[in-house]
Amino acid sequence: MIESITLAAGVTAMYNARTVDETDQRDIAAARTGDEGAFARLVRRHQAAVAGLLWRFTREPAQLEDLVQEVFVDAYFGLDGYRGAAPLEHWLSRIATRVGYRFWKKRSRRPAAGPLEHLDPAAPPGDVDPAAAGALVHALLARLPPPERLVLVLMYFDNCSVQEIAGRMGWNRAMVKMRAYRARRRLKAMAVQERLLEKLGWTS
Amino acid sequence: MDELEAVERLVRRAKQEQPSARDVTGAVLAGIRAGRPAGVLPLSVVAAVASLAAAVVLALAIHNASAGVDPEAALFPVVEVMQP
Repeated sequence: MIESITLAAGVTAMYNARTVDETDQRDIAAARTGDEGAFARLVRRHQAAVAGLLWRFTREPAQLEDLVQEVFVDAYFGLDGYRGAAPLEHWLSRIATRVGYRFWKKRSRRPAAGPLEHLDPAAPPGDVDPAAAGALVHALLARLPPPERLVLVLMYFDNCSVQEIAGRMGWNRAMVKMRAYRARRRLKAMAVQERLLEKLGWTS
Repeated sequence: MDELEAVERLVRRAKQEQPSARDVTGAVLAGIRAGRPAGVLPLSVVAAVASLAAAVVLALAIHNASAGVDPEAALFPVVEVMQP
């Protein structure tokens, strides 16, 4: 059965969790013995959060489904690598970040995106529709090289610290700081070139 | 407000987005049944093969050492000295 799931609540739950859920522990133990039903329950519980994170990597529904699927298939085959020291959500978010980043790197060989298409000059200042804002930010960030884009996505949307990004990606902190600095500089230059403030009507 | 502040303001709005996605449970289970992606071996398999190879090499080394076989000497042909 195909159902629609809401992403935003799941993402919040993903990053607020601090302890390993007992239900997850039971299902992980069962899944390790080959119980597909147990793994299906894990997928149903966590797919919204994973999809919410990957929504920042692609806004194409079909690609999003493929990436979410890839995360859980990777997770299933790597389940023995999950130690249970941190909540499953954290482990899945690491896999999802890597899957999304790999997806960007494959796509980065394609030509860069064209001019911004998501601006609605009729929107009142400061009252941009969230979906339009999401599409606009996505289009802007898509012009950055994948490593810089990743740093900003994790900082902006997942409130990750430099240390958390470094840990999640296996990069050192100095590298993350440098990428964040370069990304912001490029982003600002692009926004100026696109006359973003003027188009949004946010000039005072 | 500068351009970066504008982007950050857009990000705050974007976080309120309520996108939806389909349930992928069936597709995940199908992917699992289809098997592991090609070219990826689990670490445990690699470790098991390496351990087996190491055990074979160790067994041969012990066997050769206990048999008193000098591998260097084996390279030379046996020379028989004919007595007059």
